Amino acid sequence: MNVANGKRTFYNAEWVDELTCKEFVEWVTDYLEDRLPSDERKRFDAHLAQCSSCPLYLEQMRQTIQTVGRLSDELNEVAPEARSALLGVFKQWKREKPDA
Amino acid sequence: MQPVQLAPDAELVGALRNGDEHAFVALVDAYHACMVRVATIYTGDRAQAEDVVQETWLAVLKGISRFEGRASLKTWIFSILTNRAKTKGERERRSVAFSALESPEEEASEFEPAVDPRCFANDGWWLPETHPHPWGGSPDAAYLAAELRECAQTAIDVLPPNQRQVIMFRDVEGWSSEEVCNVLGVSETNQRVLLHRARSKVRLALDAYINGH
Repeated sequence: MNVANGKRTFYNAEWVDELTCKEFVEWVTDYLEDRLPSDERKRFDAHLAQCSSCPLYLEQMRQTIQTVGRLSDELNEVAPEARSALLGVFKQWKREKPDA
Repeated sequence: MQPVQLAPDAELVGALRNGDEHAFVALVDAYHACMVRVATIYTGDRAQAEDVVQETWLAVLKGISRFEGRASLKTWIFSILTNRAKTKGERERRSVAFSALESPEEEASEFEPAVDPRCFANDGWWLPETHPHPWGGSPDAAYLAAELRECAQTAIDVLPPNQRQVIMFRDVEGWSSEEVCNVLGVSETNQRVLLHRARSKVRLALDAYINGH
């Protein structure tokens, strides 16, 4: 992960290396996937508590994922032609397979 | 998200080997539409994508007697599909972005920022002109939600293929990271890098749409 910029900040009863916003936006996915190692997680949480912009960025990312998640709702029909073609494929395979 | 609850793999595989048409139809209903979407990433053309998917189903039937169950049936089917779609896409010389020719591993190994570096000051904090603005709560108006979905879909459609496939599997279809890694043959970390990039680009598109810049 990134090298700290040298500044420390006091959060949750301990000193942690400060995270910049530029670093924060790169860690968002790891955070949402619950894949940040514990030290990085503390730095991330500290920044979240102390920055007024990055919580908005995180929320935007959550809303992005939510919006993308709704894309599948409309898209699950199999066209009738495709279905009958596939049934044809199946029947032919069944006729031709060795132990038919 | 899958609307159909499929029988367990062992049951489906056994039924298919016995020539059970219902098992085949159940699989088609569960996966076909998603398979066409995935194939379209590489072929560009939907009709070609349908061809690739049909070939894939035949390959699945022909290979079912040899299927050992080391991977899940789902990831096995989609692996066959992805390989065929990539091959066909390259053979037809579809005009795809250069990065389509990269393996997911290669693509993930080159750094790409999630946000334009010009949005930040030298010390790494957001600049006043570029810091994020709220998007507001979930819009109630159905039309606005539909427009946002369309905006997101458009942004996804122009992603490099590896990123497009990852965000499609993870966020649209709700697959686990393990399943995606199995199909794409990519490490967990690199899968996450691709997902990160894809989501960052879609966020940017939505932000541009909502805040109009």
